[in-house]
Amino acid sequence: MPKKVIVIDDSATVRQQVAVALIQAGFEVIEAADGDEGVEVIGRTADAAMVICDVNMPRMNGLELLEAVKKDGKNASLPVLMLTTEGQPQLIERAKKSGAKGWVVKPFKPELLVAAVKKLTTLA
Amino acid sequence: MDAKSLTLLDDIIVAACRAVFEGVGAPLEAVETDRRDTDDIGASIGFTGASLRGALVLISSKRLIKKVLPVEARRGEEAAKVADWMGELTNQTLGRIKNKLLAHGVTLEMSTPTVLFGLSLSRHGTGSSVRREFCFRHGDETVLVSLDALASPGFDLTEEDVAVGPGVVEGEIALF
Repeated sequence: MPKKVIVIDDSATVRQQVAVALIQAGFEVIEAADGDEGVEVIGRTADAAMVICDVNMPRMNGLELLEAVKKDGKNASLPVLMLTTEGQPQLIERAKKSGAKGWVVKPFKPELLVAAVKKLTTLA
Repeated sequence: MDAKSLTLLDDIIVAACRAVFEGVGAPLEAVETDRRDTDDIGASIGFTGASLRGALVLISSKRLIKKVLPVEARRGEEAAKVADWMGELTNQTLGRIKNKLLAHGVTLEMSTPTVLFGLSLSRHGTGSSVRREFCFRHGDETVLVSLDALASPGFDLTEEDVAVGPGVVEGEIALF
């Protein structure tokens, strides 16, 4: 049974880039286009192995999503990796404190992303 | 902003735009403004901060953005794909500028992109105190990047301080 990774990004192109890399590595990918939709998808995917989430998105941004998701105790061990153009140390620190497991600055290298996903889904 | 700050800002804008397009296989050559009648696409992202607020605009021929679409994204409705990718390239360009400016004492918040289609798009500054514009060419295609902003009175970029730069740089992953 492939592990499920939820990919949340307002760019459909980025979601497809991530999805292709992960599917080729044996993962199943579920997509969401913004933070609101992401929260809804996480809520109905009890067996998700991991979340990859953009930061700057319409409606609800990625840090707000992270904080909302981690408030729910059942998601405490769900790894969340932030994938963004942002590199600001304060934002990275906020994500870390809120329970994110990593931070990737776009453009991402598919092989590095897959390695990180494998590591985080194995540890979870 | 003083002349030194503007030169620094220019270098940052040009480097960011070139890095983004080089990363998608379209290295850019700087040229004098040389827009032609083309079927264009443009994207704008607003930004705000304590000392600088404005927008970054990227304009390109639609043909070039279609050419640099990632292979994974070539299925589906073309106009939507090209618009989405133009928005993302603009997002990555402003992201690089923003991350580089951290080391010069500037912290910015970004909005999400707005994408426009049209023939021979051009931008008109509206009373901005900082107006920087650069034109590039990749083969027969042109790319224009402009940054219009209002700077706080007396604001200048500080000397680069790498200790306050981005926590993670483009292409890298930090695991906690």
